[in-house]
Amino acid sequence: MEERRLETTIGKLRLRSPLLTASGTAGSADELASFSNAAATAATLGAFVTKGVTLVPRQGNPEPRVIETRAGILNSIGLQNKGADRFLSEDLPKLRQYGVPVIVNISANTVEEYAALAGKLLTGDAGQISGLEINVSCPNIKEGGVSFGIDPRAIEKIVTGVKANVPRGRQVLIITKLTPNITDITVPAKAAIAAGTDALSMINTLRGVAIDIRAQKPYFANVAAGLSGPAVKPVGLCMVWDCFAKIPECRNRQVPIIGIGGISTWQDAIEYLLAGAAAVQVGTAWFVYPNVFVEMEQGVRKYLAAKNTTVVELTGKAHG
Amino acid sequence: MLPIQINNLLARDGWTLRDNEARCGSRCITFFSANRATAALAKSLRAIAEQDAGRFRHISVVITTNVEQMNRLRAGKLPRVFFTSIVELESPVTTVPRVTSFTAKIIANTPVGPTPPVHYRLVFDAPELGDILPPQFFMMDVLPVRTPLGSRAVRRADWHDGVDWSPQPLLKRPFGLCRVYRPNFPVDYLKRLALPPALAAVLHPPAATRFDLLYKVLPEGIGTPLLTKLRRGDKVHMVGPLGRTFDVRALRADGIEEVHIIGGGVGMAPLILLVEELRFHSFPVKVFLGMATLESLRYRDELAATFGEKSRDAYIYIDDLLAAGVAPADIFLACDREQPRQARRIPRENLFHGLVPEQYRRFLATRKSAGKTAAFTCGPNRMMEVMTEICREANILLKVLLEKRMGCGFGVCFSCVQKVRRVDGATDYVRVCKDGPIFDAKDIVWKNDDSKQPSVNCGCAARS
Repeated sequence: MEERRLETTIGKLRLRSPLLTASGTAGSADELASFSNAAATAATLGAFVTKGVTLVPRQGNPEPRVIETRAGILNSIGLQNKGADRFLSEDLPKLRQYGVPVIVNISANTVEEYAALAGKLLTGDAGQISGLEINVSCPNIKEGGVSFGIDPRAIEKIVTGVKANVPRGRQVLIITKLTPNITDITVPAKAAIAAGTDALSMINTLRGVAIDIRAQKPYFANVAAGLSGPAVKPVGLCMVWDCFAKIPECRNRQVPIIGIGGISTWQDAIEYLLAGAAAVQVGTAWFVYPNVFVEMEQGVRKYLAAKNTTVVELTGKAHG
Repeated sequence: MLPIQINNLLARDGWTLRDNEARCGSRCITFFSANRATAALAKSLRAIAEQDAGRFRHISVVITTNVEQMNRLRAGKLPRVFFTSIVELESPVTTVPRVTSFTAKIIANTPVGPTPPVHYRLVFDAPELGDILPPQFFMMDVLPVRTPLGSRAVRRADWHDGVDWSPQPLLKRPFGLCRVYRPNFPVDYLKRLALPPALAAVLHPPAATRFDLLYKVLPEGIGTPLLTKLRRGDKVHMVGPLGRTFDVRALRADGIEEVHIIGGGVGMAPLILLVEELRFHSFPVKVFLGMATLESLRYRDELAATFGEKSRDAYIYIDDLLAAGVAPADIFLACDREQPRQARRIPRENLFHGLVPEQYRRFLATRKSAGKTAAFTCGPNRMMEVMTEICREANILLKVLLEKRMGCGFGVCFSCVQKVRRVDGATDYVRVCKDGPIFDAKDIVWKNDDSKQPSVNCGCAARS
């Protein structure tokens, strides 16, 4: 019982811990490996969610890319990454050394590209990828990104396309990562569910702007950037709550929710679980405090023991 | 030639170094070894040492069986010894220190130069950074651990006049180190040390425990004004050491005979540590320092003692360089706001009124010896761009130490990027924190790189 309190299930994927890295903030194997606590951190992870991978390498946006805000950061990285081929050959084998399931976050400019990317990753990975997180919500790329995320029909097409390209017989978890830049998040959530997504993750960053009053111009070349950090936690929590409350598939755990947004302490993680998340992703907090996963796991473990409960029981408990 | 005496003592004999030193006279090499089998290796080490025996005063070396054991001993409190391991005696190895997060204790946070102060020197204890190698850096919170909310308010200058009651900086700021202090080693030990290069390549001084950094306050920012409020005894959270190390032994392999260091303003700070490393490896070093005024380098009288400086006429950087064993004649100083007058023991002809690249250009035009030279620079972007041009013309290999605003410091956020030219001519963004902070100047695309400096949200644009 003690050891299994932290266990949770997302679709058919069994996780030993509800703590996941958040895409775009955990880098890849090399960054984790440079830490003296790399093994301890990996031991607390349920899965490793990679930085966004695209079909071809992307240079990313010009500088500046990150601006600090009150209790948060605005980022406009623009999905800089080395592309699917080099991800498969260089990063994936290193990530697998930690013995943690790898979930690859995928991004693309067109509906067809998502499908092609999924096909490429799942045929070239030698069975190493446990799941794909479809990013239909990046605020920092010119085409696609958020515009997909607010269009339920586009989401349906993308999820259907990705699922169709999963090689026959492969057990791969398909997660759809939703944008908060929408009035009612249950609309794209329902679209993704209709197309057969195994799980939902929410939220991606909120669109935000910063203006340089000296130059009297926006800081970012793309004007709008993505807000993350402790500032967005109540927003993310609310969206998890809404989906759990309003969507039957979420409520009966058929399509579990992965909560993301400003989680910095173990208390934040517990809040998300209570709101209906089956697992959580921690992002910006890791920039600031590399020991965050180790301490968060200890906190959650203590809380579960004190309340004599499990992560599974806790999921959505605040709904009564 | 005095004989070199080698004692291969076992750890259980106790670390009676001082007695031993007295017995051997002023010039001896003492080997402490935890393993009798190292006697043979001691012999080969002696052979290295004998090549240059005339330059030795006293060196004690502890040879360990493996690197882990060495690192443990280096962190201990042994008096004045260098360390090496058997593995390294056979072939030099470079171990990159692993990144940790830890809490450092502030020892002093004191302004330098005239009032109102622009530069501050922060001294802190952090044994966790003991293995840091130049040009590595670390990330640091600008608020002490568990600050009450009230003291977080910060008054901001210029257009942001007024008090901001909720700055709560979320991100840590990157800083390079200016100086490291090693227990039982005098701060100026490098002044008296001239290791033969082959020996320097395998020796390690004890791990440092106390560190200095120099930072410039950006009055419109949040970070650095808050930093000035840190007091002795405050505990501050840090992450490090970060960035790639630079192996100065590679310079030797490339046939470099002389190294020039060109620092602009606060950009000089992280280069001091590199100077120490170069001096340890017995490279001839010439340092060119550019500042607005000489006065801005001067310690306040009442503070000079804090840093162990005896003279009332003590200057930051200059004293650091002298302590690192750089000869006064090898220190050049350019001030662009005023004609620099007397500065410690620096010869008058080394003082220049103008910008440091111009002084360097003139130096290159008149220098007599022209052995294979490498140069390192750090400073404002425009200065580094001019330096790139000067060194290209003079056919000098130039490395630049870049400073950028950073989100994480360890490579995951991709925000501190620099545009570089690839071999095939295309451009690419590389991370200053993970792929740097040292780059070949010829690869850097300086154009369009005068990225907008934030005036609102970020207090610390530079590393120091």
